Amino acid sequence: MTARLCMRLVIPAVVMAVFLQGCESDKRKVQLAAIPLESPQITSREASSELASDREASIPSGQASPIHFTSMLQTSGISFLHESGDSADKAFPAANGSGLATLDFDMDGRYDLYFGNGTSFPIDPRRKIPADEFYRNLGEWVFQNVTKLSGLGFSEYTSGLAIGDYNDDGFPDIYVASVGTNQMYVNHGDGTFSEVSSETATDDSRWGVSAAFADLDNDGFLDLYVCNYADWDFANNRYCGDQGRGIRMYCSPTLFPPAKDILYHNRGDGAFDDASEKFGINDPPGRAQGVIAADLNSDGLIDLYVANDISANALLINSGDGRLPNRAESTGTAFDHLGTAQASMGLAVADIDRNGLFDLFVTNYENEANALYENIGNENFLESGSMRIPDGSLPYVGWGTALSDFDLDGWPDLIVTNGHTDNNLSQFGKEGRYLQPPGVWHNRNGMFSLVTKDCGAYFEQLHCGRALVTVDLDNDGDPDVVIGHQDNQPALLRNDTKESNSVVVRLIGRPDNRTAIGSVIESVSEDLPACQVIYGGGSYASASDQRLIFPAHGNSMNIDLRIRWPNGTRSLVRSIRQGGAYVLVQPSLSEQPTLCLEIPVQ
Amino acid sequence: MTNPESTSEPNPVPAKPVQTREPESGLPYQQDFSLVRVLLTVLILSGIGAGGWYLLLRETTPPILVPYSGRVFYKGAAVSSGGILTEPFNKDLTGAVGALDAQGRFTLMTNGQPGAYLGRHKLAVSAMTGGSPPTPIVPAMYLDLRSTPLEIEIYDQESRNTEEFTLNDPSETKN
Repeated sequence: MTARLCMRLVIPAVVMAVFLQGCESDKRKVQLAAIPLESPQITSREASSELASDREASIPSGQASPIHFTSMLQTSGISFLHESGDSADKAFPAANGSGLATLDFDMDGRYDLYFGNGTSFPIDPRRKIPADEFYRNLGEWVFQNVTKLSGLGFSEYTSGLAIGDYNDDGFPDIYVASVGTNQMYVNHGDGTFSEVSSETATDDSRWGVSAAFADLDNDGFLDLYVCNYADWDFANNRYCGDQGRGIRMYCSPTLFPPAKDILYHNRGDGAFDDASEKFGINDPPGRAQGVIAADLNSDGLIDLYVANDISANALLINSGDGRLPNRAESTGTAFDHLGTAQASMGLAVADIDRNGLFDLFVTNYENEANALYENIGNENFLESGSMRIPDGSLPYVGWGTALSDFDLDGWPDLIVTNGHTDNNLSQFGKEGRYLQPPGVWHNRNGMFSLVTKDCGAYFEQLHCGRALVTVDLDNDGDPDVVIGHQDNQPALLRNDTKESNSVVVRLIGRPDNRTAIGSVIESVSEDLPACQVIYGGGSYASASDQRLIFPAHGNSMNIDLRIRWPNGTRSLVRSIRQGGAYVLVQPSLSEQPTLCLEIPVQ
Repeated sequence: MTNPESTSEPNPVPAKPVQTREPESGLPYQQDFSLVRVLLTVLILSGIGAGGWYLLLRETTPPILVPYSGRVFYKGAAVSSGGILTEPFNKDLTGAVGALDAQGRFTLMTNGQPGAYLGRHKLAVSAMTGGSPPTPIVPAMYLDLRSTPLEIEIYDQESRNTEEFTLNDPSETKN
């Protein structure tokens, strides 16, 4: 607004100056006329020579960005290199790649990074490399590879990751959704993990893509939803492409029947039951790629939203009696605004318009705009992506995503990583590029402007992205970003948008699930509702920081937070000093105050 | 500001005001012309100043939400499910949404607050049957803000902000 106002005031002034300078030299006139009246609309095409050859780059990258990131990988000590398993065989899971996750495994206050990895096909369980890698955050943007020390390093094919303290011992555990047998790793709290897939009965061997922890029956223990994609194995990998020329491409997903998802109920004794039938999920089954858990109808119970490939998405509303009926069609969340099913991948949830209700964002395949399901209350959603996010998604294949307030203005912004599934499109005379630009949108009063330009050097290049997490890696009170790429190193992006004076909050549930997934916190000092949720799952095959960041506002030194815990109890924490990080512990009785511990600045 | 006339020729003698008045013709002289320019400048600057203040006030004053409600009919019946989306012609403003009730009525909300921003908006009607895939209840052109022919004006007088929409079937219009 300020820039535009300046332009409106400057333009007449320039005209006036020309008038007053009427008798001056032509040279001076030329100089005045050369003053740009408005910032030129620099497109991606102009911003990068690499982008210049990309047809999709003609999409304007929009306004100058108020959001800035700095690439930190080179000096970080992270040497992870992803391997998708892409080869001439075009084994289908290789197109989807792997997720990544962030967790504070040693509870030192610094979030650590887990990178999922693929491998070549057919999968050989005896092969030890490539493998997943796990990095401990040492602070100052330096990380140490502790994969072997910690007992991690799954070396088959990791698709997706979920983080949650399933045994309520206070330390976050890791679930790996795999092309082969899924893996559960229990965190012992001493810096090591053990693989307990069979002991926990979570060792499903179908192709799992994503997973989410959430306590769906409010018994204080996290249940687990696993997205299974399709009935596929390498022995039945169909030939798609041009047999005459001997060139394959990835098959259409419709050639593989969808696999049923699994809902594991946590028994509370360290093991899970397959409760899929009991909860009534898979109605109908889809090729699930993403799942997110949050209370989407404001009834106090945590619901699930599942992103399916080429079929209707599912909204599993928690009825509170042990059932999760799919109400996507009746709520308007199954299709886009034209009633078309899309190929959906990544998910994000946030109150984008600050009406106190949580909205859903979904990334989709090329020629399908990403969707925004705007929550208008009473289990009604309107797909308003074309209105609120008009630019920047149609030509791209969208994957990992997050709604996160990067510039700390109180409105959640949007980031999406893109990349095609096929790297040999030109061999089939098809348009489109494997490497694609990521997108960043700034949220101003509920309207998203594409601001990728000037976000940083990473955003001027093309990538083949898949996983994405937001996490405050340097504990400076703003969300940083980590992005995983196909067959490449990840991006480690430090948020340098502005100095932060925000409040960072970690919740500990007690007797609710200790990870407090499903909790909602509202900053009550704001003029508009400012609600955030600790969600399970999300993005594409990835797990983000489970702390919440509340930006500073006004001249007040303190803010008040109202918490709704997963079991419905509420508490109010008054006068939290801005510019600090806090642990808030759920009171065992609702009339007791919430224990608020300030974490010393390290 | 430099007077270009004073630097046209070097002159060791202090410059004397150049008499350019030509009383016979009554044409404006240089000095009078300067006076006119100064007066014009003052007038224009005053105008710009006023305009600037107007713009400043307009830009710094939060846009106003005004209540707006309506009702939607198609083929003689109320459109009784789905919702309304609007997109302001002023791209700086936020669009509004509203849920359709069983009588086809809706009330616009903007970011959870009652009302829509002043000015002209495009209006789309999102209404589908259940089923997979769903069937639009209204002609497809009304579903999308890029194709909808519906426009509304939000006035600052609340009493003017009520409207009924009767949607047309384009195939019938052609016939």
